[in-house]
Amino acid sequence: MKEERLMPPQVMTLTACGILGIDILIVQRDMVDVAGQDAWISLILGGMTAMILGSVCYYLAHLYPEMDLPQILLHIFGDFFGRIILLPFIVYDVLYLGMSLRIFAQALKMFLLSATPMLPIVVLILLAAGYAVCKGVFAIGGIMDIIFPLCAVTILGILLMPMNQIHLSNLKPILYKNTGNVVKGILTGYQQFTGYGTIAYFYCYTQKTKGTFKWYLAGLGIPIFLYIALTLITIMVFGPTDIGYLTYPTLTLAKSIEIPGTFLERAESFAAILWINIVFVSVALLLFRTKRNFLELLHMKTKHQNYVIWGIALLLIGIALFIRSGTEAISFFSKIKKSSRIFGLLIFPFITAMGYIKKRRETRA
Amino acid sequence: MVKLLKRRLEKKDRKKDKKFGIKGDTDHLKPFRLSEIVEDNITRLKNSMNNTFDIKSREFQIGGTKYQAAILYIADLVNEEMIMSHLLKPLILQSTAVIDSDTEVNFQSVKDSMLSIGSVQEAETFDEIVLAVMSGDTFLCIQGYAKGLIVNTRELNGKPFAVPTVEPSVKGPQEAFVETLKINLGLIRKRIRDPNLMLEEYKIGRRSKSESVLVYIKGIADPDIVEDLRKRLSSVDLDMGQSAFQIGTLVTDRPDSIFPQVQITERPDKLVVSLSEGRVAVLTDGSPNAILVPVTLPILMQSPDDYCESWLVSSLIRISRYVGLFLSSLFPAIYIAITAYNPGMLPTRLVLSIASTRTGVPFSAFIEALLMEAVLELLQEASIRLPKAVGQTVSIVGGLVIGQSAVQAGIVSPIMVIVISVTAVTSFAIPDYSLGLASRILRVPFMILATTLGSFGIAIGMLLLLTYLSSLKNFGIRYLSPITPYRFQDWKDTVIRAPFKDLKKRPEFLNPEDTERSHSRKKEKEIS
Repeated sequence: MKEERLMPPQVMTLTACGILGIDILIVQRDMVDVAGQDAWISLILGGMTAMILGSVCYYLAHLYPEMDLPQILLHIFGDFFGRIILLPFIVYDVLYLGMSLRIFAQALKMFLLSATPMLPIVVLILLAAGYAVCKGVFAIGGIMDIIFPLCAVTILGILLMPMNQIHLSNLKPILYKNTGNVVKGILTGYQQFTGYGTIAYFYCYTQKTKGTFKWYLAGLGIPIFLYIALTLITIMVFGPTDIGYLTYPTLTLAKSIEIPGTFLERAESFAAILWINIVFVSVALLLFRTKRNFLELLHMKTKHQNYVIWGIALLLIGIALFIRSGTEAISFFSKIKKSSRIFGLLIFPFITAMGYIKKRRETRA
Repeated sequence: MVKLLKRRLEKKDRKKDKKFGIKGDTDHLKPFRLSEIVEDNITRLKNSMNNTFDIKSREFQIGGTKYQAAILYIADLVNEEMIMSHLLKPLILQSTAVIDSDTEVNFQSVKDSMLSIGSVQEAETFDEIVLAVMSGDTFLCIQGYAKGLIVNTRELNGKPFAVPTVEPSVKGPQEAFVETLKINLGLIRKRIRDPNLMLEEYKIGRRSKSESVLVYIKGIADPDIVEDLRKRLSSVDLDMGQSAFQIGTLVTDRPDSIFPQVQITERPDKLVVSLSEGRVAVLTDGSPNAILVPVTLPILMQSPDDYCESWLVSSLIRISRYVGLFLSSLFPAIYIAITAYNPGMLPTRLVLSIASTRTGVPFSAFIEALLMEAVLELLQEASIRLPKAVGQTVSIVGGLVIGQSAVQAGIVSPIMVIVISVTAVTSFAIPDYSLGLASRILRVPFMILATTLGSFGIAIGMLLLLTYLSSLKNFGIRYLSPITPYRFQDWKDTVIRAPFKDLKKRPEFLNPEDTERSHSRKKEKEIS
């Protein structure tokens, strides 16, 4: 039988699903907090930064086409330093994942399951994601292929439905005495798209063709466009001041949609179901990354991966339910993201530069 | 060195064939002509038809003289009695009278005086002979002549066949396989006159020694899949190999899956189309069904009628089938989730109407649905087991009388009767019976998830199901192919069915050797 490989279009869906995540609910508030009504401009610039860094990351994966990120790190920096560099990745992924699960459970309680405790929600989503990771990279690719278009179409629906409620005046004044904040917002904007690094974990399983990079760029571009559009529409509907008071602006936007006379009158429940899918793909991808990182960090064999997956799942349940207050959880989530900004911005160019030097040396030798 | 060169040339030829897709027709046999040696002709002809087990030859002496002759035919297609009484008998026994009357035995005298069959034609090149033999004629050649005779021995009245009962079609052919392997192979041969149609015989069952035949088209089917199936068939260890399904279950990767891992068909037309796409079939003597592998979910959602309507109509029907599959598994669960957890999603009037119909019903929506589901399953099972006429009565009594009485007695609400009825109707839209069964099995777990966790439970159930389906593999092919991984070329015949002029390529996901179904004009020019 021929060796199975991910098809180039799957690079697009995996990358896009790696970017779409829990942030889709709160991206508008995060951005408006920094850049006010010009948040969408910061997001465009942040998106462009992510595209550039994503291309760097792709180049790194391309340099070592048969290795994933933890293997590349150990190859470039050696066993000891490689593991040291791997550690921040693990800490960030585990904390980000744990808090994502917490915020997910909180929002779900608010919109769909008011009487259900958070524990079964977190356990069930982890069970589904863990099962997907156990089934391997090609099963994950298949799931993303189906979920991604559904998510994209639903988000487009959420964007188009409230068109009758938008007020262009909410965007004004554009860039008036706000340039500094817009520049500051670039970093926050870029932070929303750090999922571009997913390629470094999946490239080694991909069929390498000329078009793969184009599919990767499409995978970066689509979520960037959706986030920008979502921010723009939310600002136009609610205005920058009101967004600051909304816990989950996207769900509130969906809640504002009413289709009178049709079979289903409110769209927020659909948005919440869509969001379950988005969180699932995001959790599955992060869990896969964390599993790979742990396997390499602890020098474990692949046959033991299921123990690692369920071990990480237990750890994540603990992290998700550790903080009692919902507001504290959201602020802790923001802190995790803020603290990793500079690291995230510099780490891939650094690894790629080192990888390039190492590769040249190897070629010469 | 010679071997290496030969292999290189073979590889080059294969590439050329792949490029132009000419393997299937007999045109490439045009340059080959008969020789004067009977043995040589028969061997070469058999080889050009890939020497399948149903190609029969018989060498003999005409009238007991030194004149050697031979006949060649395909057993599944000819009327063997006609060959015996009008070809072999006159040539071997009755020809002695002709020879005694001092007539010289030569090609012309055999043609004019010894054959008592209506249509006899002379032939010299392999292409016409192979095509004739593939069509059910018998080829006769005589020592010393570089030409032969094509004798019409086709089964004119046709062989007995059944009418499809499990896979009926509105406009498609009304032929189905029967329990006799020879007739079934004839039904396939009748539709594919390709010398590359391969038939490999296996004896399965330690005691029953049932004949099973592996069928595929060489040059189209992926050799890896064929080889894999060959190995699996050879390793089947059974006491009694009785049905195609039994053998199918033993050759699959996941026999415990509720989703069909082999496609069972009773339709020769469906089997032939599948073979032309690069799939492989197994037929078993005594079984009126054939199994087809590899199988994927989108393949199971296709019906022969899709190719008997305009592309737009067929596409809409196919989409409705997918909706049917979705509703068949999820409709009761969605109803439970919305009414129990998210009634706000529905219009207020509808919520009030549902609430009023449920007044006085002692059970929760879940128990109600479960009761109705159990009754529905029992009714379906009963109507299959009973004779047709009684079965219909059971359906009427069950569907109308029990349903109406249950509502009047206040055991179930009218809306629940509607939900379960719609679910039952949608499940009948699924063209594959086994897939329909799988969707029925899935209903209950989804209902449990809906009653415990509402739409979140359904979403989790769907994600688990999706993960399971994405991880399923069938002879190396993903079960959700070609929906995922994305193969845009193959999407032309998946959820929709594109116009025939656009279906020029075989499904890529089946890794066919010859990818083209028909040539573009440019390629035709290149070939000519």
